Amino acid sequence: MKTSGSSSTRDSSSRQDRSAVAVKSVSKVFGAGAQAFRALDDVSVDIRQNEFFTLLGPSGCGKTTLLRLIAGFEQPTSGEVLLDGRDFSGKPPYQRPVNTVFQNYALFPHMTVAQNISFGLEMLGRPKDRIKAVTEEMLRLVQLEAMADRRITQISGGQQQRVALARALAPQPKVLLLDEPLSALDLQLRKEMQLELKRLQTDTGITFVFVTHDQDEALTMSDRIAVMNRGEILQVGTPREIYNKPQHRFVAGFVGEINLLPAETTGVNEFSIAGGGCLRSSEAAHVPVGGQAVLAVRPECIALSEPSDGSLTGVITNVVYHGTDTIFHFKLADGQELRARSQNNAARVQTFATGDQIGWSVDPASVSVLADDPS
Amino acid sequence: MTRAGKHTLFRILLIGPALLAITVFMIVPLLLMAYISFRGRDYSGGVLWDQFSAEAYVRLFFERELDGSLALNLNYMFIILRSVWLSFVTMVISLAVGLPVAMFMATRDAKWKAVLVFMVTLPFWTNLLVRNYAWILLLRDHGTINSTLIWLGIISEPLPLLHNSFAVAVGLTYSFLPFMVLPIYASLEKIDLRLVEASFDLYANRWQTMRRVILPLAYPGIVAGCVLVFVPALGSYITPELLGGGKTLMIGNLIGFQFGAARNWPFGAALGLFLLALVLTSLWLYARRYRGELEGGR
Repeated sequence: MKTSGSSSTRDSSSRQDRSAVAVKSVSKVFGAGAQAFRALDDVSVDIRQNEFFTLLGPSGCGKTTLLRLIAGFEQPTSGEVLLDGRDFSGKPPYQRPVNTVFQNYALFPHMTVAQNISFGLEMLGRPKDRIKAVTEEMLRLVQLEAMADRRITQISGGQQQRVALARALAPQPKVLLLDEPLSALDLQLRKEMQLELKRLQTDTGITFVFVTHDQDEALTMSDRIAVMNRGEILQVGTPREIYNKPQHRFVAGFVGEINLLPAETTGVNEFSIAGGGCLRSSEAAHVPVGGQAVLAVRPECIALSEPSDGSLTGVITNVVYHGTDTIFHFKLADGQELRARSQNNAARVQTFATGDQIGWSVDPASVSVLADDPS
Repeated sequence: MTRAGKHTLFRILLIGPALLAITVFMIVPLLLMAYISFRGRDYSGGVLWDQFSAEAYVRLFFERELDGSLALNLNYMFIILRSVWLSFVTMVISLAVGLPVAMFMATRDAKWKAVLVFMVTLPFWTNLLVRNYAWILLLRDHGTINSTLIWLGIISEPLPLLHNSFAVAVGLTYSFLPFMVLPIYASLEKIDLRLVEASFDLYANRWQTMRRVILPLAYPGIVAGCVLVFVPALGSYITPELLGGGKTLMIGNLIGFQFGAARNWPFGAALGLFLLALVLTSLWLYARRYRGELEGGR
C-alpha cells in the first residue's frame, strides 16, 4: 500500500505550497544478485515547506536510508528526489541545501564548539564578520555562549546535541535532516530536547525531517508522520490521524497500544466479532458484507461496566496499576485477550478484580476498520 | 605486611624487569659512552681510562696542527649536516609517498586491509643488508635501470645513480617507508567515517574535507611517522655504507669508522653523544610545535 501525503489537490504552482522535499517513486537496492537488499521500495512522499515531518518505523524499515538519500550520501537506484522543486540527482552532499544532525552527532573532535558551528559557513565562503555574527547567534539560540571555546570532548552529551543542532542550523539550510538525534540522551533530557526542537523549528521556519523509532517522540513533535515498514511508507498523516485512524494493521500496532479484533462484516458499519457480540464503527467498512475485517480499538476507548443484558462481556484476567491509570486485561468467550485502560480518578474508581465478570463497550467513533492484512 | 605494603611490593615486582632492562641495556651503556668520550685516546684501540681529556669534543670542530695549534675543521660538521639533510629528505619523500598509500589502505574493505598491511610489512621479512644489495643491482652503471634506459635509447651513457647522495636517499626512503605508512594508516583507520560525511554535509568538498578534517585528525600519526623515519635515518649505517660507496658518509658511518679503523674511541663516543643530542633537540622542537598546535585548535 503506497500512500502519498501530497498536497496535490491544491494549486501546486504557488510558492507557499511547493514541497520542500519531493520523493518520487524512489527505490534503493543495496548489493547485487542473491545478496541484494531492497531498503526502499517505490516510496513517494511530499514534505511541505516549514513542516516538522517525521519518518517513524522500526529499525531496518528504510527510514534512515530515505534520509541519507535526501542528504545525498546515497543515490537512489530508481526514482528521484526534488529539493525545493529542483532536481539534485547525482549531486554530492556538499552541493545540496540541506544539513544533517547525525545520530552520534559526528562533531569534529579537533575543533572547539564555535569552530564546529562556523564550519559550514566557512565552507560556503561567507564573509568573516557574517560568520562571526551567525555563530554567536547560533550559540545564543542553543544557550551555549559560555561554551564557545570549549573542546567537544569537554562538554556533556546534551550540550553536544545542541552543538550538533547549531552546526546544522548555522548555514540556514532549506531542510534540516535529523537522524534519531535524541536516542543517546536520557529520558529527562530527551523530553526537554523534544520541546526545544519543536521550538527551534517554529522559530527558524526551517523544514525539519526527523527520523525516529520512538512513537512518543513522533506524536509529540510532528506536524505530520510517515509510518514506514519494510522499505515502504504505509501511512502519512497528522499525529491524530495516525493514532486515531490507522489505516494499516502495522501502523495500528506500532503507534501506541491497540486491541485488534478479527471480525466479520455484517452490515455497512456493523461487525460481528469472533468472541461473540456485535460492534459498530462510524467508519464505513471497505470490506464487503460477509468479508473478514480487523477492528482496532485503543485500550483507553474501552469502557468497562457491570455485565448487563445485551452488552459485550468478558472475564478479568489481570489488573495492572500504573499510577495515572490502571490496565484491565480481560478475556472474551473465545479466549482472545483485550486490554482496557482506565484513568485513575478519585471520583470514579473502577474496582474490578481478577475473575470478575464484566461488560464492555466502545464508542463507534473509536473503532477503526483495517483490511485483514497479515503484516 | 600491610595491604598497602603488599600492593607496593607487587608493583615493584611487576615494574622490576623492565626497570632492570632499561638500566643495564640503556642507562649504563649511555653513561659509559659519556665517560669514554672524556677519556684519552689509546692509539692501539681502546681508551686510556686514567686520563681525562676533552680532545674528542675539540675534534668535532677543530683540527690540531703539528705545532699543537688549532685550526677550524668543518669536515665533520659537514657530514653531520649531510646526515640531517638526507634524513630530512628521506622523511619528506616518505611522507609524500606514504600518505596516499596509507589513505588508500585505510579506505579498503576489512579483508583487503589485512592483506595490504601484510604487504607493507613484507620487506621486514628480508634482511636489510640483502635489500640494500638489491638496490645496488638496480642502480649500478650496468644495473637494471641504466641497461633498460640505454636499451630504450633514452640515454647513451649510464646515469650516475650509485655511490652518491641520491642513492643513499633512495635506499633510506625504501628502508623506512613502512615506518611512515603504518602509523599514518593506524590514525586514518580510526577516523569515524561519519565525520567525513558531516564535513561533506556542511558544504566542504573533497579537498576541503581532506585539509580541514582528515589531515588534522591524522596529525598524530603523521608526526609519529615522521619521527620514526627521521630518527633511524639519521643514525643509519648500512645504507650509506653500501649505496654511498664510502663517499657519501653519514654520521653513523663516521662513528663506526672511529671505533674501527681510526681507533679513536673517545671521538666515536663524542660523535655518538652529539647525534643523540641532535635527535633529542629535534624531537623536543617537534613536541613543542605539536603541543602548540593542540592548544591552538587547528
